[in-house]
Amino acid sequence: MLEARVKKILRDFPLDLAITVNPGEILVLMGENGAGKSMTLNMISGIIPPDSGLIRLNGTIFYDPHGGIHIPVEDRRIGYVFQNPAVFPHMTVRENIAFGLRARHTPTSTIAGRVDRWLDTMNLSDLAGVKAGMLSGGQQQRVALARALAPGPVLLMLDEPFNALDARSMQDVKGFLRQYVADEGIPCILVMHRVRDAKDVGDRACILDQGVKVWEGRPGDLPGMYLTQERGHPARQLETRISSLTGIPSSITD
Amino acid sequence: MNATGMRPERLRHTIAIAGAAALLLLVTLYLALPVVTLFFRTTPDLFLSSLGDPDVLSALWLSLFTSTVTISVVVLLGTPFAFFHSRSRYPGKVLVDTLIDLPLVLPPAVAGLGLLLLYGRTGLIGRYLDLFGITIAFTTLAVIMAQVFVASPFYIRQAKALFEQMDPAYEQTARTLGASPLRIFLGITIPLTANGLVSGAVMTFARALGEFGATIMFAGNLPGVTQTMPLAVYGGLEGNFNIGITIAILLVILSFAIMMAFRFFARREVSRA
Repeated sequence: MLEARVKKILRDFPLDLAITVNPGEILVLMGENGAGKSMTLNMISGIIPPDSGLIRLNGTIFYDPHGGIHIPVEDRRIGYVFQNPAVFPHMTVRENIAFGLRARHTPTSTIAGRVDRWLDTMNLSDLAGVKAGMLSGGQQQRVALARALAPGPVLLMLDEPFNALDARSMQDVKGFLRQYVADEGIPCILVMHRVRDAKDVGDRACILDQGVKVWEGRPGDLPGMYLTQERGHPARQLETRISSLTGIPSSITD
Repeated sequence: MNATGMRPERLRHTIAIAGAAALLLLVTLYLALPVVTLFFRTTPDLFLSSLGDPDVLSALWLSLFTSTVTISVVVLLGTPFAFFHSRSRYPGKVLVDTLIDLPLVLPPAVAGLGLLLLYGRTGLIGRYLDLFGITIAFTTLAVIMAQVFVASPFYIRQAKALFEQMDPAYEQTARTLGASPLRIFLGITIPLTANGLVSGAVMTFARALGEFGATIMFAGNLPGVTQTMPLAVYGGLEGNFNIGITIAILLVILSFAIMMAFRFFARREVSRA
């Protein structure tokens, strides 16, 4: 189980958040851009230290300022895919997926087999020898996911993992993720924007606004208003564009 | 719009085009003519026969040797330096930034004088080195030191900018995957910035190759020891003019090749910001 209580003074507002994610559970973080979602993941991963709080995973303390504990990023064994999937463009798909295994000194004899399985799972076998920088956005996201999962992380955090995937592979990846998280029994946090995605994969959803939790519940109960009020939401942008072209006022109001 | 309205507009357009073309021609000619003139002050036969002259060969060899040592030193020390500098905050960082860039605007003769007063036989450090029989000024080492001083900012500035602009997601991802700092630096940071680093190194090499002012102040103009190609061109004015022209043409050719190499790498420099 992941228990995280994090506080940090940000430029525009103080972030103050407590979240718990159970083993095998997928928590979806939602909210406007700049609400503090990515910052929260960065603090849990150890990339950015909180000002105060407590982060504990399965009883192991990652961060506790009172005990002077701040486990470095590389020792937390978290699978973390950023918004920019950051595949290593100069390496092949195979080398990307093997990177974490090599870095953690996995016995060389077992690396090839494990990488092969991930290539197969993510439907990347045909691209194994291709330089990752040559891939499409959706393919890069699948490589990044396989790379994060190959070393067997104890916690999975994905920041907008589906936005570059085409419809079919999105369904595949969603189904796979649900299964994987349940089978491995690890906590998982997804940052997502679309309510539909949250309903498809999430067990629980949180909406952040200005660094605090403003709603928490089952994705199925996500407030309808949220969908239309979110700034920069595709539906809203489309309506605004249509209204500016046709002169018909947008049906979405502030 | 009617016909009378079109005419002044078209005229203005023509004048603008002609003006732009004249300016383009003027600037291009101004930059190209001095270089082209060099080729008209010799003949292919004379050029080829001077190529075998011992003074030409020794200047060519010395220039390539010292510039190569310079670029090696700058890359080996400058790369980690630029990395730590760009990734850390420390008091006086702005001052260090300014000092790094200073040689870009400092007259080379001033740099040479400073080096001489520091490392010369009676210099601040040089006098102690002299006690151990170590002489730096007016040696090949002095040539290299002058080049490093004058040319290093070209590489360090470029490396600093690349490390600062690189999207932190690559290195952070590598950290989450358990990679050590050294593995990340050598396996991620350097390959992702390689093209930019190479183009910075090419410019540094070119600057070192063309170094004149600091070298003549600090290392003198001794054929075979400190007389690099630019110094030999200068020496040609008083001695064998043909040799000066031949070396000058060699330098033009080298510079041209370096510029082509730079453009090649700069074009491939993919922004990953």
